[in-house]
Amino acid sequence: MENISSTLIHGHLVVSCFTLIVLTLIGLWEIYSNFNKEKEDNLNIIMYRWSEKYYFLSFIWGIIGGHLFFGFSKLLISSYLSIVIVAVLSVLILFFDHRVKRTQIKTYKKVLSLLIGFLFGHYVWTMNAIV
Amino acid sequence: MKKKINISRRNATIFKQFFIIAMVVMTVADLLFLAIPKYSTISKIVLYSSPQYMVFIWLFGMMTTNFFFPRKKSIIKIKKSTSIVVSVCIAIILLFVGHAIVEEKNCASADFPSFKKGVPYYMEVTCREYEENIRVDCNTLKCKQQAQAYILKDGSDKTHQLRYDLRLEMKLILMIFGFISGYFIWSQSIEENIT
Repeated sequence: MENISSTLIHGHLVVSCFTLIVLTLIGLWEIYSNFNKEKEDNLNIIMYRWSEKYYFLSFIWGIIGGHLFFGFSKLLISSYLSIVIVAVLSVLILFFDHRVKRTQIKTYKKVLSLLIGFLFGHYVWTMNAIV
Repeated sequence: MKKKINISRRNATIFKQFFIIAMVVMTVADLLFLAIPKYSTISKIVLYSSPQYMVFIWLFGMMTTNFFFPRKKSIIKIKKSTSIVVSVCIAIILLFVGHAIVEEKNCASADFPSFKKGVPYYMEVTCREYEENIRVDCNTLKCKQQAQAYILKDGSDKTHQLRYDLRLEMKLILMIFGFISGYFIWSQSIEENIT
């Protein structure tokens, strides 16, 4: 039992450290970009500009929110199939975004895209299902 | 009157490339961690960080509004220092509250029915298999006194962990609070041209 728990703790720490390093690097850039003289190199501006043109970003953000923080307690489809569906949908939306030229996505469409992504992440790509 | 906006292409391009690479690396790493049994995945670590780190839910809500629906500076004027102070205060409060409500028990100190009795209305008890982090129905567990751990009633040796977690409704409320915080605390960094 002790060997298993120490292995699990080690594995947990490796993943946590890796995630923290990546997020810290992004955070450091954000601090730098807030204080430098140049404009529009902040993460929030870049994301905002992207979301004005691509549905992909709001959709994926919604999926991430539903998947990471929520999750339906019943498994509607198998977890591997849900990953495949998310990947296929993402590629399709990216393809659609690049084919259709647009100047600006309206706010209500962004909300809709976020909401659909969120519901998808919560109901389809759930990690919270009771086995 | 149109404001001339000084756009830096170079910095923004470098950051965009770095950000895309970082996201791809995180995704590939998560898939690799999924394939190696002794490692947890990034997704599971974030999910199980609740309720101690419920501040992440609030932060996610804040980032959502900040990225996709930022408020124009001209609507409400807030100093950057005020935004930072308020955000840090809220984050610290949420961290304290999260750590105060966490509770994990082994069955030597509490059997499942009495553990379930003490659950406040905003929390729920979750039961997870210790190694693979699979969620199970708590009613299928029994206490293995010698090991001071919960195992399945069918006699399986896999140990389970009982802990409190926030109800989904409470997590949703926290995220909505994050949306509202993100809108009122952080404004758009540049003003749109007014025509």
